[in-house]
Amino acid sequence: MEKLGIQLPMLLTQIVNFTIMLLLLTKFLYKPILKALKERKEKISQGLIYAEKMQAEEEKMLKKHEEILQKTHLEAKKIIDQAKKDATSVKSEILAQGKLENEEMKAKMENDLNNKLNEMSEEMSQKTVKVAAEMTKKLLADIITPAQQHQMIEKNLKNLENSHEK
Amino acid sequence: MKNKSVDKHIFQEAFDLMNSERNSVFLDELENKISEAVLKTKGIEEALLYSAVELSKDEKNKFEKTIFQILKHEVKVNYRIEPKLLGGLRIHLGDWKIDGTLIYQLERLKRSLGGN
Repeated sequence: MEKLGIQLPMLLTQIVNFTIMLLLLTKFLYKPILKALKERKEKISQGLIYAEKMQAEEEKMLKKHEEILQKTHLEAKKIIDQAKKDATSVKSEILAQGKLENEEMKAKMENDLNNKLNEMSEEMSQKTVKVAAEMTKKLLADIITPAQQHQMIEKNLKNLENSHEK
Repeated sequence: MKNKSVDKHIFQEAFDLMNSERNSVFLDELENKISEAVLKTKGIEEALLYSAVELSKDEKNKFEKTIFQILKHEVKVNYRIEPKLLGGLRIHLGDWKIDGTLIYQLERLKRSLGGN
């Protein structure tokens, strides 16, 4: 041993030192590190569980969101369909009302026009009769001879006489 | 000239037609109103006779004789000439008026045709 340069007391001292060092390291370094590692592992594990939970929650939320979206979409479609129906109905009503108003206006205009035509026709007829009467008066005054005048007077007198006799 | 002759011919026919119609109307009016006239003209002593031309003496005598026969009493007849009457006679006896003139018939015809 001594030939190899190893001194027993020195070896023993070093073994004791190493053991003491090992005990100290185990107590003050290895154990806290292990503990910290364990704690970290637990934390990671908890984090993973939380992440999984969150993912499940997210999936659930996504599903709910999709359901809501689909429901909303359906409702919107329903509203649009109803609006289209209402619009068609309103359009028909407006068209019917417009047609009715148009017919009423047309009838009124026709009536007004007929009234106006009748008035004009009546006025024209009256004027024609007036002019004809005036012309007749003037022409008769020129045409009737004295002999015809006395003939008329004779007839009037004869009628007067006859009426009395009756 | 030719047109005037044609006009005269047309108006002569119209005049004849009116004259014949007028006489029947005149007669009808008299028949309907003669009794009313006798009542209305009681006490009336003056008559007005309108004509388009002056009546001859014979026509005046005939009228006066006829009116005496109707009313049974004498009336003084005043003769008025109104050329605008065109022809025939118009008699006024108090409230009783009878119109056999052409202008009256023409106005009636005008009214019946809507000439107002």
